[in-house]
Amino acid sequence: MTVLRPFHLMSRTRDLLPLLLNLPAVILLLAFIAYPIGISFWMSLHRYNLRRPDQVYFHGLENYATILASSEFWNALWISLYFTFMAVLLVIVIAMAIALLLHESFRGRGVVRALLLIPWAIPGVVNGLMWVGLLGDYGAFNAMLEDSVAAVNYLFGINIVYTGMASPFVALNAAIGAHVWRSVPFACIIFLAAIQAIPTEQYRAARVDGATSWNRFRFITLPWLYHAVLVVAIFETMNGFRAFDLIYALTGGGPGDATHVIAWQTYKEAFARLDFGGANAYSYLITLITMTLAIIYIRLLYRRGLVQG
Amino acid sequence: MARVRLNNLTKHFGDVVAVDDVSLDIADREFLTLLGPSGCGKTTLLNMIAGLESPTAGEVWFDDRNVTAVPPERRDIAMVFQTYALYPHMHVFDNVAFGLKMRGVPAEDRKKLVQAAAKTMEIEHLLDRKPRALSGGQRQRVALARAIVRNPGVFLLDEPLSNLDAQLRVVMRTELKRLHGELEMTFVYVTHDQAESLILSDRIVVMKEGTIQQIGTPESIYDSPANTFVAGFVGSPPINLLKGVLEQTGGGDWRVVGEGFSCGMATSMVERMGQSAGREVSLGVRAEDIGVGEVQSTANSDSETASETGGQSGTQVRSVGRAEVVVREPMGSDLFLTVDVGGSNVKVRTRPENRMDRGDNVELYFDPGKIHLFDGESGEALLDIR
Repeated sequence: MTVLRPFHLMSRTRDLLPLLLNLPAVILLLAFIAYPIGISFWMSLHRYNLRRPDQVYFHGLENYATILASSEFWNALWISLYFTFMAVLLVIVIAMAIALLLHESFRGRGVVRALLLIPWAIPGVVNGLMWVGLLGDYGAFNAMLEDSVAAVNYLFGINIVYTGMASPFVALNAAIGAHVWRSVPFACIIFLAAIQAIPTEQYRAARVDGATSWNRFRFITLPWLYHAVLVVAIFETMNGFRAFDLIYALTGGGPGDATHVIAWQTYKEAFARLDFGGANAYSYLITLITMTLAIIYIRLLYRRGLVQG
Repeated sequence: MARVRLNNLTKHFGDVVAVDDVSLDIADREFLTLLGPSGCGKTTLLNMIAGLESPTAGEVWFDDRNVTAVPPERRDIAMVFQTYALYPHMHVFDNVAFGLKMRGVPAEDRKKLVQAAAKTMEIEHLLDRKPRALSGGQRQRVALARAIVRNPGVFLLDEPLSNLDAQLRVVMRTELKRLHGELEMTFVYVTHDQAESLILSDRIVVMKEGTIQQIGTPESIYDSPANTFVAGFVGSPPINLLKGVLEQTGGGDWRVVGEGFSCGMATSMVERMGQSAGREVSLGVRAEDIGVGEVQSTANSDSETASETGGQSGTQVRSVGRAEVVVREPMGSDLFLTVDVGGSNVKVRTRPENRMDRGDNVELYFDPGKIHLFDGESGEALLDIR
């Protein structure tokens, strides 16, 4: 092809060509990732409320100070921490249990492994709506729970009031359940891959050493999965802190502020209060929290010497 | 301490018969080697002794106890694996102590026992390291320490040396022999390395395609192989096998005659075999039992006397034929010559001073006391010389 190009252009194009070819991608990355990150931080340092579009001015860390002083933020943070902690714990336990089961050979294992991925492929909003169908006022699962509570009340002569998704406790934990349901497949695949990488001779050696099946899990499987558990924990922690679409569809943040997770609070700042300065400050706080947690996890990973540095 | 008996053990993997009706009686404190090429079923057999694989049919007995259905954790065994299978997340101490811990040995006793095992294997200075910080030889020592620490009755070793480099393998081979002398355990050792089996074993079991080919001491396996497979598998270089026909000359002498050679046989031997003329045979002769000599100018080469036959000095040996040297391989203490006999290659071991080289014609002599005769078709030994 070089033959077709005029001679005098050759040396210059040799330097410029790689740059030129990369330019579209670079522009897109700058426009859709770097610019929003930058502008969002810049806006978080401004008073920027669309209710008063004429009063946009720089006021430093004022937004952050306001947020940190508000009870709304701390309430949302605690809800998010609870949400994330429960979600990470449940995802790890359930996904590992399923992965251990799927590692065993049984008829139809391939089909089950494929089916496992379905929840993961469902978008968050759709997942939320599906759970509304199950747990909402007219939901089948909700009806079953109501009947069960009524039966228990009748049998034991007690009076438990079950209000379904109108109960803050039920709403928050249902949101966690739905979130976990959707997150398990991904974690499960990571665990399954890690389990399959454990050499079978490890188990043979452990059996000869007299380890029971529980001890083989405790002393062989679990240490071998340490790395995978940390990866899942990091991933699920970030996921938990950013959970929004599911909650938007399932509870709408309610009842009251029971499911006001921190991402919901950010949304509320921006689109209910139209306070874009405050909302951007919220985003940065979420980023800061998840980054801190990620750093802790990663340091844990390196300290245990499981990552070859 | 344990005597291990295998009664008609059979293992199928789907349609594949990995081990086919194997019976074996392993004496207490014996060093027994299962020898064979890969896929011969030796590891499967070992796994059945360990309890890691359950037999399709047959029984495993430890002393007077039928352990066929007993899981490995409740058999009195220890095992060393080819890949060592050390627990990577545990320190060497915990690796060695793991079996004791699982069996509920108190911590102070564990410490003493681990120290003792570490001393035997000379790894005391490595106890606080992780396996990945160890060299191959050190890992091997840890694996052995982990096995001996529980003082099991039966010690199972699955190709423990094959992941080591050649030099280290020789060192660890000696170490294993020392260990067997010191410990009062029955050793069952799996290998595909015939040299290892000859050096280490009290008895060798040669296997092929799931069946036992021969059981015997290293000497008997080497000197009286039961068939051409055993003859070819044990010994380095492999035995020379030449196709021929058993013939009787006018004078009543017996010979094996093949392409390019004619080897005289003692009449008494042939009569003992009860063989008849015209039978197709494979003649086996090891490299060290062949002599080579200069081609004499006299016409009647049949009357020549061997000048360089191995051993047997003074006996009159007649040349079996002429051959051409094809390859000369000096190996320090020995010189190996590959000679062409009627189109077949024959390896000869001779002294390093020998000056014969490629293209030379030589006279070939077989030590008549060390010839092996096998059936031409089945490969079974026809003649047990000793």
